[in-house]
Amino acid sequence: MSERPEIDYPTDWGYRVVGTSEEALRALVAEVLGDDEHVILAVQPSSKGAYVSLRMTVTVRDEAHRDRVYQQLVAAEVVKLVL
Amino acid sequence: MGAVLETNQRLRSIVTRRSLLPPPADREHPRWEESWEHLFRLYRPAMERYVQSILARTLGRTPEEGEAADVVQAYFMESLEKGWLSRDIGELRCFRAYLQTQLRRFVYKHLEKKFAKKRSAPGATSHDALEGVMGDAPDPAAADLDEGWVQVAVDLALDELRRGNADYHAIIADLLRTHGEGSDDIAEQLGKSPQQVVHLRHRARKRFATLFHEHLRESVRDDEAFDELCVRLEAYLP
Repeated sequence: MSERPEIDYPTDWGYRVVGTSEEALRALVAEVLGDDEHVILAVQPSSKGAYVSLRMTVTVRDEAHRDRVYQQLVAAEVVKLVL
Repeated sequence: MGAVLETNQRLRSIVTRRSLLPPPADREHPRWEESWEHLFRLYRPAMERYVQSILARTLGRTPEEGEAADVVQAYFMESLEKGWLSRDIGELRCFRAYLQTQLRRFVYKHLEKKFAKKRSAPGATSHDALEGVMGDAPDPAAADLDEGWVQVAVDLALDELRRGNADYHAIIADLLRTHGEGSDDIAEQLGKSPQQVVHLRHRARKRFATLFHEHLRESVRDDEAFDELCVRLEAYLP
């Protein structure tokens, strides 16, 4: 049992964003990240297609940046959950 | 009881936060879903660890990178889509026990599909391997879920300590690193006298124990379920 390891920034941080529409999630990502370096790695629909998850990495500059991205994604109406 | 937490007897006297699982009477309330999502988000690392363990045992090798995370994410989407959140949570006393049952079933289906696709491939895993996931034998991966559950509660408690009292955080992080022994030079590191560190350790351990148990308490409905969970997790407590 140990403390979390220190993270060296900048680093590529993974986010999984679950929402109801791929188009809306992509628009949100563009709005939140702007010019921040990021890559959308995969888009996965749920079995019945009602939900979609978007997996991406973002190059975060520091912990504050990492948290800010997370908070902005979580706060969006189109987002169900950010993992 | 571990080396960092205080004795079980004293911990039981700690007044913990209420459960995040609302009483059954509120079943139709939207809070069900909020609670479920909140707990899901908190305990996701434990879930991934559990799924990773089942996958590794069944496949006989390390799963592909990200596969456990993909399964947990798919499980979450399926839960939303099929209304499991509102349907099942009414009977829920312990979120950990619920997840174990649910995830085990979900991973079984995931592997079934995976094997079906590879049926003709050389080295494809037989049906016997799947039996190990859902058979009657005790779940060998449960220990990973338990250990992961404890780690999540430790991390949450540490985060709160870090935000609230830097000295407490440093003391507990040091105790965790040294399996409860504590570093010889911690007083010097903190700029305190050895006597001050003795008092600080006592208070920090008490605060850490409170936070740790508060987080565990949130994931069960009542005191009885809380006691059962503590007993179950005892081997992994810090």
